Amino acid sequence: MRKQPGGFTPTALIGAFLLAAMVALALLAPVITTDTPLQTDLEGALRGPTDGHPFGQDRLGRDVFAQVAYGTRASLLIAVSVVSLTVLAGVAAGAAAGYVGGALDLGIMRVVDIFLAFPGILLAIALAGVLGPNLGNLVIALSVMGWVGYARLVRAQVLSLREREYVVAARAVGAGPWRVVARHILPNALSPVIVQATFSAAGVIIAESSLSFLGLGPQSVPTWGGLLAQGAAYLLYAPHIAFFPGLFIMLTVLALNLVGDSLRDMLDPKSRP
Amino acid sequence: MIGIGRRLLLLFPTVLGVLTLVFFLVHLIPGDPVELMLGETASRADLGQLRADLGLDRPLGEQYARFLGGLGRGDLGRSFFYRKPVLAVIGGALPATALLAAAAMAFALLVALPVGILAAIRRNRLPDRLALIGSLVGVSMPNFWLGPMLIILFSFRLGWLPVSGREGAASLVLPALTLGTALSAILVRMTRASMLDVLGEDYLRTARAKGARPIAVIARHALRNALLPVVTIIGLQFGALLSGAVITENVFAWPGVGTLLIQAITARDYPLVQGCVLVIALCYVFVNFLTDSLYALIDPRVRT
Amino acid sequence: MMPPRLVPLLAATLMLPVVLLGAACSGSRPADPGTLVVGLEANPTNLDPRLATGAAAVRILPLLFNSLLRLDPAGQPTSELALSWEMPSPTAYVFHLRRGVRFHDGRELTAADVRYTYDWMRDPKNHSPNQGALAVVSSVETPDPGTVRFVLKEPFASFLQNLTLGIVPAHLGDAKDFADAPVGSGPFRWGEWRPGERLVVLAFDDSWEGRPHLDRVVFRIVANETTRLLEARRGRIDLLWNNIPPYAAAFLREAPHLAVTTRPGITYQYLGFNLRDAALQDVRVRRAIAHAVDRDRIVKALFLGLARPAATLLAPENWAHAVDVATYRHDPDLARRLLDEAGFPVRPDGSRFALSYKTSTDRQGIEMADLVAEDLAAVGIRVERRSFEWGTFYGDIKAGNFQLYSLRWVGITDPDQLHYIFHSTSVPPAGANRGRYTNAEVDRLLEVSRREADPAARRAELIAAQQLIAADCVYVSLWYPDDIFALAKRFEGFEPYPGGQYTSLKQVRATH
Repeated sequence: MRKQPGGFTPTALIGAFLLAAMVALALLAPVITTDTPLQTDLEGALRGPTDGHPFGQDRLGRDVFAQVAYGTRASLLIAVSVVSLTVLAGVAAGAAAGYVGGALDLGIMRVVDIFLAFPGILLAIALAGVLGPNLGNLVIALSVMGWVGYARLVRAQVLSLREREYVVAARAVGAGPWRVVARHILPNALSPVIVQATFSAAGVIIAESSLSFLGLGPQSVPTWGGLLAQGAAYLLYAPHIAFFPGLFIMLTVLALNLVGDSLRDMLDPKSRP
Repeated sequence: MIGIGRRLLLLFPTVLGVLTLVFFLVHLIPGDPVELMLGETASRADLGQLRADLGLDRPLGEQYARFLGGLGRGDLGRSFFYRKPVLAVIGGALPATALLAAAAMAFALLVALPVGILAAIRRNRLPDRLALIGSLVGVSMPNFWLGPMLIILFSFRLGWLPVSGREGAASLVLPALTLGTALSAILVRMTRASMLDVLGEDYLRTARAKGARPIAVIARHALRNALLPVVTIIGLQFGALLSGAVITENVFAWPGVGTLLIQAITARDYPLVQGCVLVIALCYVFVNFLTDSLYALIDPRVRT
Repeated sequence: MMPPRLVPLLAATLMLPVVLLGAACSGSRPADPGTLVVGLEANPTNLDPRLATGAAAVRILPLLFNSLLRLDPAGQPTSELALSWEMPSPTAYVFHLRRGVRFHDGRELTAADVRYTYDWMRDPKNHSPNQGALAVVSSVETPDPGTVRFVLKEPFASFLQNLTLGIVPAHLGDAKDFADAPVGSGPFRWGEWRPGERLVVLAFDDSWEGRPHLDRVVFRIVANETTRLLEARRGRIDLLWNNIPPYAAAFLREAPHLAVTTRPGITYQYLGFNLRDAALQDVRVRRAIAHAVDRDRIVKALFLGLARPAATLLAPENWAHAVDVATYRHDPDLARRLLDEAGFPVRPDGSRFALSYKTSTDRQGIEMADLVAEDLAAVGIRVERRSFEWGTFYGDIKAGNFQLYSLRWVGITDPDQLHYIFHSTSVPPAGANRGRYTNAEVDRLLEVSRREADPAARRAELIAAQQLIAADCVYVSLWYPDDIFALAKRFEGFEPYPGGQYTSLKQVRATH
């Protein structure tokens, strides 16, 4: 497979195309499907794919295709929110720990270790219990669990970049720590972060589905995870309910991974496979 | 050796931090364990009495201090619902989870290492493409979907394996497969990437130029160095493995700590929740300690 | 230090025999006619009848323990350990015990054990969940080893219903680990218990009722519904009861080795109102909501017709069931009129007002909530469903922190429960009047019926109370779901008891 210099492989293009399709689906859901994805139709409960309902109908006769389309919105929204929040928090913590070092570093890394060792499920249940299960709280729960990975990553990057000549030079010239970090270190540290972000987005989509499985997900909007959880309960009689959201999760994760791979190729030639 | 000692020391604040977090978290979740224990026929006096007996009417700080004190003595308290010492309750469930996690890990390694290596050697050819697709599929299938699918196929339609429960070696297969799939998918990519890095190194080219056979080159030099990042990743992923065990245990009726934790949370069984989280955190921390030490041992270049 | 290349090899050699062994062992075992496997969805947490709460434990305990009285399938107290009884005064009950009853360890059960058990539960130090129900007892006396006398503080018509608690041996009951290997006098004795996994009980040869036909009963705990159903289809679980969703009945019927039976049930499903809420305190609003809900549609869609419409808490089988109570037929037009009358016209945005509807994470509860929300939306009430994890949900409804919620009352056979649920002093934690309902006449009727000695008068009082409660629309009575159980055809003789107890397992035998 020939690669253009610093360019896109065909697989990366597939990934990008898939992502674009998902975004389009999210935006155009009301147009493509219907205004009321949660409209019940009890006569058709658990019916498989038919002309009017290409993905079949769920337990209350709701159109699975419409729910999957609207679910794209929820999933993408959750993924983007969580990744943004975790990247922001993680980069800030990791940069501070890596650059300042000393007690701050030790403290932040201990907090990171604590969060890594903590079973996320407990945190999610606690948050859902205290705050109520909805989209916002799901984002909070997933963000609280996810920022630590970036902290570790950025810290390692900052540590290695801290002693580079241009950074030392900047410090010698008298640049304040904020300036040094923001202008010299971070731009070079960010490429693994960007790569990791695409992979985390995939993970968030899976995590959302697991939390919805436990009943902690958003209630009144269709989500892939919610559909998947329902599908798991009716797997024996109506496998289509689980199949289609599962398929879309897989495709989105595939797309994100392909894009992530190619970003890694472009941004960090050393780690080229 | 000093490195190991120091790393061991650093475990304490981490575990302590986890315990503190879980203590306050669990006490702050709405829901009163005393009401859940005594049911709705209890009078206010009864509730108050039980609350006092369990020490739940004291200020939170004091309860926390007592909790730590008990820990120091090795006493994790008594479970509210089982009315037995927490250690006994968890001790009953822990071997099951440990077995499941170990089996999942073994399965993941068994699949990922050879596949990853093969993908690296036959880069960009069919084995590589297949490995990529397989790993992407593997990482995007949630446990609670994969589990029932495997049950339907292997238990229901084919009748080869039991549906659920922990009875005999056969019952371990599907749960381990379910739990280990995501991990193996990640490990495949990791192994492949790591192998490729190493295969491109100069010293390998020199070895080959000197006439060493490819297999020998791979086995002796590449593998050892390629496995280092894999070892670290295993440690990091162990936490995800334990979380995944919760759902896998539910699907397969596997009597482990994950199921216990969920039950304990629902029942607001504070001592049991704290005990389970402690055990989970200790396992995670210990496994990472092992992998870090292993890393140091394998690669003499690394020193903390 | 092992060369890394051997690691995968080692793993392979470890896994291979496991897989081969597994494949060899997994063939179906010949079914043992003496062993019956029951599938449970929840783990019984405690097997001491003095302490046990939770449906899972309470349903299994009658196999291990006997009680003074037992409830028959119609919910009436009948003799078990007590051969006969009389009431010398309105506050005294004297029971004459059956002789020759042995505990599983061989010792004879006497009045001393009965007194020990009840005194233990009444002792506040022990924190028994039954303490509250026994607060009306002032003393328990044993004039001789075959007689027990209960003295009450005041007359209590439903007292006999409280005597269905298992009797524990006095000589063993103080052991700290009694619950780990409980000893009772029931038809089965404790065999093995792996919490969270399985509970095994074995036939007790010297049972006063005669040895059960079965040798052992294995209770397997399988929380995941799909897994449980698959195990039953594969023949690894012989009995499923109270955990079969209606649409799964057809799936189980496909198995030639299973017989699926449905019987009318007494579980009562309802919508609860918070009567202190600004909108819901008006009875017209509550009635409007009752008229708006299309019960038939939901029963057909979610229960596949396997439920009977309900109008009152006590099921038709109950001796105090009220027949002439207000019912609220599905009539959206009437609902709209009532809402207009009550001062909630339709606003410009199309709705009248909004309500929050809280449920647990139970799947059927959520599906039902979505359908009810549609019905209410059709008359202009915007409903927001909020599902919470059980502990949080339960805490909220007890605290009165809700507007609408739905739940079920399971196994209600004692009409005195009406006092527990609808009396104005029964607000949690003192009772289950979560909606904070107050009606002086209902209070009076319930109090009088508690002391009423004449059964006919008592019945009339209870019926009058139910009629008032229905007229006030304190709950929207929904339905009584049918009892569904699946039993492997190689067994016969299982009878579902209204409280969910597995008592009839002592009669179950292999079919010939």
